[in-house]
Amino acid sequence: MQTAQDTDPHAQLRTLYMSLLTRQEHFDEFKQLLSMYPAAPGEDETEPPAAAEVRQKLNQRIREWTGTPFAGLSSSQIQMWRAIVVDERINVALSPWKESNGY
Amino acid sequence: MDFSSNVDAIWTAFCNTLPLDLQREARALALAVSLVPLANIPWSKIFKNEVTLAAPALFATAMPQATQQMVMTATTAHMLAVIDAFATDRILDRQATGNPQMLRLFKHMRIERDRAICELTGNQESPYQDAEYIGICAINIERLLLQHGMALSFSDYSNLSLAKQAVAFPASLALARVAGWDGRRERAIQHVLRGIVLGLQFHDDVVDWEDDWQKGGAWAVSLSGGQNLRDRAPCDGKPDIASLRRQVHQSGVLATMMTMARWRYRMAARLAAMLGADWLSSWAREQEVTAAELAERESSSAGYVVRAHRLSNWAMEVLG
Repeated sequence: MQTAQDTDPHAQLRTLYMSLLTRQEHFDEFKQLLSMYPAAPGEDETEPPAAAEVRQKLNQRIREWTGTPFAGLSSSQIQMWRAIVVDERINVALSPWKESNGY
Repeated sequence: MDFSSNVDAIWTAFCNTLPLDLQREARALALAVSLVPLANIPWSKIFKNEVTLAAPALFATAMPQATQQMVMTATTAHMLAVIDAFATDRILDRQATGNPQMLRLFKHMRIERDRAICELTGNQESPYQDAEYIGICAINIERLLLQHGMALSFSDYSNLSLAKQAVAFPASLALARVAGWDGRRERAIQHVLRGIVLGLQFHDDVVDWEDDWQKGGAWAVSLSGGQNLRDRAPCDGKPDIASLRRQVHQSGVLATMMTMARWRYRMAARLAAMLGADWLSSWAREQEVTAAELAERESSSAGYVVRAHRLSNWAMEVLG
């Protein structure tokens, strides 16, 4: 029988998040695979074969880490995640820059 | 009292006193020293907490004899001292590049800082002269020790961390004195501030240890063996972060540092409550709870705090 975690995309993402938080090797591999994905799509907006291969590998690894039938990340989702996790671009202006006074 | 508005109003008032050619430099200072990635972010938005820039105003809520003028003067001195210390540290640390205009700005900040504290106390001599010297010495000693990957003790860590933040104390202590507080309560303020600055420092040093290591040295490395770990770096001299990470994680030092932060916040919360500084006490209590939770998670899953920090923007965006 499938649970909500198996079918709800939000629950799947939360499971992935917990996996990345609790396992250093998952975090490292996640970041490495994201960094291998091209930051911008090809000229005709199609996903290059090499990029598709990285995406498939990443999705497969996420399924293994989470133990769920993870639906898989699209090209645009991976690009957004890459920008946040690898390039640290999104929302940096909104995030407090330092936890505290580190001088 | 709206502490954030006061902080921004104080900075604006200070900028307006500057020569015209320095006003633009002052308004772009946070960006210039890489505290923020964009221009025009007000100081009240740069730090997660209000304690860093407005500590005297937070203590003043428990001082019935502290007038609005006294509080603003103390907060002016405190804020200029702290911003100057941050900016100077980032230049010493080569995270930012200084220039003659910036150095002129720092000079103006120190003059105004000293003027404000002397106006508050009625003394001719500013306590910031000594505090600034102690802080800079500690920063330089820390840099040398960490760069060389020295094995260091937790006692070294606490003492140097406290000395680095010497400028965080004079304005709140001076305000207490002029507001009629006795020596016992003044010492209590000192202990509250110690708890807060060390709690914040220990927490930061856990979150940023990998970045700190890449920039020259990290307490997590020195507290978990120091030189022995650095010896494992490859021959090209570049630190092997994966090997270091394994060693730091296995040592459990990150959980210990976070636990130290927890106890410091706890002490600050208790003493602040005794003084009647309720806002400060409940803020420190919240930090204590957060630090306790992070220490527990770090303990059961080494590296948790760093990963949580690195995934925080992603979690905010994707999980809400």
